[in-house]
Amino acid sequence: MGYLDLDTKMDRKLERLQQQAREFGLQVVRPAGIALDKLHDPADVIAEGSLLWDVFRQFREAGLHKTMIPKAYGGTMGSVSPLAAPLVNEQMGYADGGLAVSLLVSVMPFAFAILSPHREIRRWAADYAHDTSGKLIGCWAITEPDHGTDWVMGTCSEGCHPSMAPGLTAVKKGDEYIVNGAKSAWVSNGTIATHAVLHVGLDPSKGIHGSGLALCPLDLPGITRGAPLNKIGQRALNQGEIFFTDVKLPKKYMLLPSPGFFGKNVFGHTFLGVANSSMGVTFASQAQATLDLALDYAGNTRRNGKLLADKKDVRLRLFRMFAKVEAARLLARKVSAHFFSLSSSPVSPITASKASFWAISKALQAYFAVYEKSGTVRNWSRKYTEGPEEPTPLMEWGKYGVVSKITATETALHVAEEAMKLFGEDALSPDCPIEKMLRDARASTVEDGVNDALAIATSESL
Amino acid sequence: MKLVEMDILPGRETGAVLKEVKKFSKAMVRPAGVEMDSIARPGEALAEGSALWEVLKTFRKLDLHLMGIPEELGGMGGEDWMTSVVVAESLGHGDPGLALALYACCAPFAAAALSSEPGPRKLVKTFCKDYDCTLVGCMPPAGVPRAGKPTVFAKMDRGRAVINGSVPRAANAPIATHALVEVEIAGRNPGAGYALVPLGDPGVTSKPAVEKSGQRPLPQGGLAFDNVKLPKGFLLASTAAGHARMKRALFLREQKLLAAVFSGVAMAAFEEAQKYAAARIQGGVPIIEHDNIRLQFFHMAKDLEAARAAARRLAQHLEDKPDNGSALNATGVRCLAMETAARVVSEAMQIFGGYGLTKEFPLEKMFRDVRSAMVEQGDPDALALAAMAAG
Repeated sequence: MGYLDLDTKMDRKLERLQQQAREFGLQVVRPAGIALDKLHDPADVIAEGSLLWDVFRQFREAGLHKTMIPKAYGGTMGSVSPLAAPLVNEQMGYADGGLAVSLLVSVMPFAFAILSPHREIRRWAADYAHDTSGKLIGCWAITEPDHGTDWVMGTCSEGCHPSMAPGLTAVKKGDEYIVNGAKSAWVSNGTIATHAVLHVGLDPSKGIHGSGLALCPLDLPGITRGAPLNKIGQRALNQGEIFFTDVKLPKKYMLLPSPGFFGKNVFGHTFLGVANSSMGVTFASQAQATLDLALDYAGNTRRNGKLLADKKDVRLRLFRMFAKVEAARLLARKVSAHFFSLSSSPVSPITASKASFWAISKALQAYFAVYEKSGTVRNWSRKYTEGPEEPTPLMEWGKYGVVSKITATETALHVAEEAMKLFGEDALSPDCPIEKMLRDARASTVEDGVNDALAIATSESL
Repeated sequence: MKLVEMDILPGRETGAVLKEVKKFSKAMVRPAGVEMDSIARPGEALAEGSALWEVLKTFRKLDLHLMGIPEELGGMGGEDWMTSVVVAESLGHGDPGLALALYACCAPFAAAALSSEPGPRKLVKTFCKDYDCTLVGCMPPAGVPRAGKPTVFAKMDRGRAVINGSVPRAANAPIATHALVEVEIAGRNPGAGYALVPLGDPGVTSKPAVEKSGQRPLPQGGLAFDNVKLPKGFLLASTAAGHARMKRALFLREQKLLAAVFSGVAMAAFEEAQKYAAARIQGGVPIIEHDNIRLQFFHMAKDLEAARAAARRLAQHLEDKPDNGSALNATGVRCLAMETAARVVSEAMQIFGGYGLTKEFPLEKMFRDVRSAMVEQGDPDALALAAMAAG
């Protein structure tokens, strides 16, 4: 079946990138995802010689990881259209939802590194851009065994409730922070990551709003990992706990040392929005992949002498699937491209020079210093009762990321359920990825925030 | 928040039986299902001494295999609809795969009890006393009456039936001793019937247990028959009227069973979510106190009670008017139950958040079980269209 690319901003260069990502996805990522899904023990997914490492290595060799690193640090952000990142992410999602998440989240600490006032940490971004071996792997260490949805609700006013305070704490002691606690089994790349974006509790009296953000190398003494999580879907995606016992974290790694950044403000919202918009792209594309398999099956399968594609009930089902997939796909791409255009295109002169990142990071630190001294944080909870904060474009944008994620994951789940009905028993044959897609999609409505919780938290910015 | 039993419970005697079944289901069926589900190679779950055999034997120790078999053959006589539904609900609550395995284990013998020939009747008598599980039944899914054609063929040879053909997927095939399969009869008096096939016959090939995602505790496999000569009398229901009656009875019984079993799964998911929501604290309170979660529970309860009620209504109707059940009614009830179970399990899983996706909690298995069942036992739309065609 043919899809029209309704995006008029596509050019030759982007089409070539899309094609390259598509071929890599179908030839390498999808078969690896199917094979890794079948491994009974998730420890085998990350064992030496596992296909997972081939995927990581070849993704980097192909340079597909560079779309979210600015040009100044060896990436392509700022030098190519803001559509580039969503286009690559789409093709990974089309190939395998779980591996797409693994490849995507991997960039996070390295993309954040450019905001650090320390040159050595900013260099992480360049190291990642130039890594062709796949040895640098990032993760987003946010949720904890006792605080899952709490982190989502932390982006709205009720996140200041002290009972929601992070279990993982960082206590300042001279030039370092002492970190204790655990991050949950749902940290993607949790047991294989080398670097983390780490959310830490700094002031428990302020709940989630009392948290700060560190960029943490995961080879510091006192850091250990749990067993890889055994789960229903996205089994190719490594997830697992990270434990911190009296870890001495030098203070240079604390990117945002002031409690209050991850509250009802631009950072909290944007955080959720960025992660959610990528999930949206990934699972809208998985839904499209499911639909394509269904169309192919219906066009080539006869039951009781009749081609499935000629039966009216089947035709109705397929068109309804198509309608949902296209709506989700267009929304997801638009939202994601909009974010990348906010962060790269209009400021592309900035993204070209390292000096500008130095300036941005200094400004950011200064902002937080003033922010803390102003007493705003201490009056945080009172402020909410006085009415909403002045919205910024990025804050406004955050809710679109959430809309994209909810729509895409629910579409992926719905379309997979519909495809299961169409395939019948054939869905269970070992070569057919439909049943796996159902399980992968099932995980996605919980992953990156339970959909309803995301909706309720973000409703504050309506 | 508690679901109450809305039907009038059966008398004290049956009440005691049901209590035993609930205990059996909770203490043995559920853990055995979880254990078998976690075994990587399906064959290993079937080995002698495994949890599966313990479940099969305990079921017989409770005399549950005697339900529906006439007293003169050693059975308990007719089953009352309430008992049969509550037993199936309860076993489904424990593990739907094992519930179906237990049903398939007995069904061929219950069918044989309808025969007037001495051979099958003797087999049924042995089955009733068989507490060691040396006799194990096997069944492919019962087809919708007047839809689909048998894939196994019988020809008559000096008064004995010889069968050829294959069935792609039958419950219990890898462990069974006897299979009940529908056959098309060729020869001078063409027609159809049911063959009770002793699987020890050298002409029978049993394909190994299939690897699956859900209902893993239910052993399934294919069977192929190459010139298998049936013992005398083992071709059942070979008259036109007899075949039609048995086909319909098997089909209706299966719909009733599936409706009750999957109502049980929905109940189990609901209860697990209830426990979790009372214990899990987010936002400083147990999540059951959040209105959006409460609303989810309300709709789960509403839907699952409707499915349960429909299953019971069907069972009662089939007992009152055994020859009167329509494929449309029965398929409707069964589809309602399975779709409800799928929705309730999925909602419950969402309440569990990330924990629902892991092997630590039972929800992810329930999800796989229900979705597999919807495909293995026929998808709702295909069944619906077949039922519409059958009337």
